[in-house]
Amino acid sequence: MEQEYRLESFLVADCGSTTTRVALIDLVGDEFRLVAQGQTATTVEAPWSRISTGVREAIRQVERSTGRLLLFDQEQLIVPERENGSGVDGLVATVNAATPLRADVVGLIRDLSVESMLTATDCSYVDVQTVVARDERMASAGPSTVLRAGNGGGIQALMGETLQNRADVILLSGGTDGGAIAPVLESARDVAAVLSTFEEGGRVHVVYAGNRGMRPEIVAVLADCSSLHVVDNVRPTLDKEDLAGAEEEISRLYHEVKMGRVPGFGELKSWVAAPMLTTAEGLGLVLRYLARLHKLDVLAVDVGSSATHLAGVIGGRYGSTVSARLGVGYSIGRVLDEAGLEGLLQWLPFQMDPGEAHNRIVNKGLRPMTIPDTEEDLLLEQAAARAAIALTLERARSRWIGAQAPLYAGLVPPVDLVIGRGAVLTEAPKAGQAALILLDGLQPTGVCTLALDQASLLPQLGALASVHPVAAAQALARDGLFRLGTAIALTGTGKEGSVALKLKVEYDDGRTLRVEVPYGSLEVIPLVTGKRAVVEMRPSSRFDVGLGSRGRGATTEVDGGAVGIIVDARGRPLALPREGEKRRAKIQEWMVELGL
Amino acid sequence: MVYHPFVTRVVPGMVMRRERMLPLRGEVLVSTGARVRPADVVARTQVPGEMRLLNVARALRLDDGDLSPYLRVSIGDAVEQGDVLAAGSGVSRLFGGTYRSPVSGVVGGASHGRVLIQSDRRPLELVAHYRGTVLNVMSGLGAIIEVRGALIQGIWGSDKAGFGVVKCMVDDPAQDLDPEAIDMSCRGSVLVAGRCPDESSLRRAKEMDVQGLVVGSLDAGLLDVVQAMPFPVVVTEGMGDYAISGPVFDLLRAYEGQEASVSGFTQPRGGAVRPEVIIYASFAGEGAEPETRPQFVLDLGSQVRIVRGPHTGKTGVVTHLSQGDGTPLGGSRVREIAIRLDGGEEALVAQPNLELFG
Repeated sequence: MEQEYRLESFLVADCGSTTTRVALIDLVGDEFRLVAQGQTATTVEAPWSRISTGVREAIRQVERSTGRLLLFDQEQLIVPERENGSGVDGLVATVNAATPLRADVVGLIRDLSVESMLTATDCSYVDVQTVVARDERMASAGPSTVLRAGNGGGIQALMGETLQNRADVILLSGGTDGGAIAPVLESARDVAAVLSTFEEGGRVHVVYAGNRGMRPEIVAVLADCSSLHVVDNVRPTLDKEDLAGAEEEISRLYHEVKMGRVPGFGELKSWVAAPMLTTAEGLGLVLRYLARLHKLDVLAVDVGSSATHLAGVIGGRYGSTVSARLGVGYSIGRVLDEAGLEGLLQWLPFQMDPGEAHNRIVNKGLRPMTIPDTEEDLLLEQAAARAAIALTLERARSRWIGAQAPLYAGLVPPVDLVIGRGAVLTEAPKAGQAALILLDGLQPTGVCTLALDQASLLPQLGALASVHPVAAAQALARDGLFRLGTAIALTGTGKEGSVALKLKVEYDDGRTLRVEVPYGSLEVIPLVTGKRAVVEMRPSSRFDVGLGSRGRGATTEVDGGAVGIIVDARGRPLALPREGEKRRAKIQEWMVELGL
Repeated sequence: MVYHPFVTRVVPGMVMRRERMLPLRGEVLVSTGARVRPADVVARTQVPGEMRLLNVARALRLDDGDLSPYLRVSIGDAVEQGDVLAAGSGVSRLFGGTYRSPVSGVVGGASHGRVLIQSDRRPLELVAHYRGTVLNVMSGLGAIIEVRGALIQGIWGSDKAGFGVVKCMVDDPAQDLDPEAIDMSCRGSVLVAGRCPDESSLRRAKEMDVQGLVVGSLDAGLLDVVQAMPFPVVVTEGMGDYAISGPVFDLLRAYEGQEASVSGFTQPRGGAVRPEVIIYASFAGEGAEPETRPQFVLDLGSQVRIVRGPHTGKTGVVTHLSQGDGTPLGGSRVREIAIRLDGGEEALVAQPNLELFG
């Protein structure tokens, strides 16, 4: 983009399914800083049906709080910034207000090409409706949907049924490069036969990511009856997975088929200075930047109203899982379906009638913009957040959060930084609540900094980086993260009450604190924001502090935060007491320790 | 004055446009300007039942998948189980190549070596559902009907539509629907009650051929049962134990005995659709306001309804727009609004827990 003026001020917007936020980033002295923010309800649905309406309202809030004129005649954004200080030099935006891309996945072998394609769908807001693998009958992808048995007619008969549901895209894979031909062609012909029958067939997108050698045949079969996109094979060999091509095409289709058709999107697009990204894409860019710049392993979880996104860089490899139908607003009902009432209620420190909890959860889904009015309501929504994180983590663990060391099998391997975002975390009344949700939901291991995207800026800064990397980097460094503190999470199990970790904390003012932390407990050690301390950790022989070896001690320097140092000696995997009274007492004990 | 985007319409007289669309292309039976009644058929089509995709080419051992020389049926042909769909020739005939349909149905398509059989095709007749005038016809798809009446939007509904006479089953908006009170006089009616307490009320309503049920609340545990009922259920407040809002109940009472269309279809995202009751009161058309995009401004004197917390369902007017910085539980950026409830009581409510109402 050619600019004839210096870029010194920006509005950055994020349009979620429920909330739209706009922030003003401007030069303060010689540094780009977050100056003001506005937020309002997203206006993508009827009766508003125009996403830009909410963005304008959030901009007006920024106007009111800064006294700076940003909209001309209350309508058009003033760009570039004027001599009198009105306007800004550009606006960037991220969006996840669209409904998910509906996809059917068709392939040969469930555990190979089909699984790879399913992993590729994790990159964006995709709702996988049906999975068809030639080596089995037909199974729907989500655990909440019913497994449908074959009707005796074979996979061809089931295919007709499958394709009636009018997915936005059919993701077709199968065969290694140079490998099987006939079964892939059979699948393609099945798809083509059904698409040819429907008038709407031409409008259905088909992404082919199978045997490279089959491309001419696939084009011959599918080009006339679908909108065909051919990309690299997701399984070029049996032991190699290559998702980049499929992921790129799925993301592009989400932009084209869903995001681009959000009412008012065109108007918003006309305002922006850089291509609009999805919220997940923007967050991914920032995480990769953070990982590269600071040589970190980082994990972030965004718990939204309609979707939950887990992304990170571990060992230099970026991974991302978007659960497009799991959230704590619009999608809270799906969390209930997948986790079950017991799965939610187990996180409460008090007993709640299951029927009452069910009512409250359905009501939240019906009016996702409402906020908790009582402590009980708040903790129920936070319980749903834990479940949404855990369910998303379960998918991510089987796909990209692989642990190198056997000690962390089935766990999140140690990372340096864990970031939480989404209103259920960032607007939790107490920092300790957000910290506990992250610890319970993700169950990080080892020593890590816990932080929040408190200003809800990270995805937008990812988008801003393409226009002004310096502005994005400076705003990220100064205003991007709100430190909750440092978590020291022990892996292993032991005897309740036995000493799991001996800790010596040396503050920078010379004070020293020695603590023995029993297994099964949470312990908070004061260390305020901006302060650092040297921590010497001596775990008992049954526990690991993130070094991949039980009983091995270490000394490290840690950061303070709003909560402090949190020693999580509850063990990994975290096992809540089965018995209700005991479990609730334990949760109360943990909450008290965190000052809740 | 504060921008406030949440609105529920409860209006005694309004001119509305409602779409009636076929799920598949078919035939529209009405023309622009026609007067329609709810039971009138406005469009019809054929919808397929089960689909069977038959890999005939493989059965006949045809490598290239081109079936056309061997097909013995055309698209649209009705076939019975055992009818020959394709017969081989040349080499394949040596293998006795005749393919017979394993099912009865209609040939829906034939390509790429496959034949698609649509079984159990059945006619679908789309009724007007509303009383009004056809404003526009979309050829082969459906019609837009202009409707005049009272509008009450709900928050949840079962995916059904119905039409009947409004009948209030309770005197108090907090009162439960009594299954004993549902008798033959309820046949064809749209029943109104404060709350639907249990399954027995629903089953009784089904037995009495009720055409719809409007309640303030019901238990979420009943949702599956409600969805299985043949009539629509519209919930105005939410799940749990909430009375119908006073103004909603008053409007329904005022129009008792009048005909109403009830639609329970609810779609929160991707083109939000809310459940609704439209009552054709004889005087509702007089001075009816057009259905335009509602105002989204919360100001002193605005009529609001509380949608979460202990006052859920209560209505009132805004008396003070707090400049305060938030509520103890709801996040730091949330404004609180002072409301004088209809009963005279004062309440302080977080702004997201309010909606403009009326």
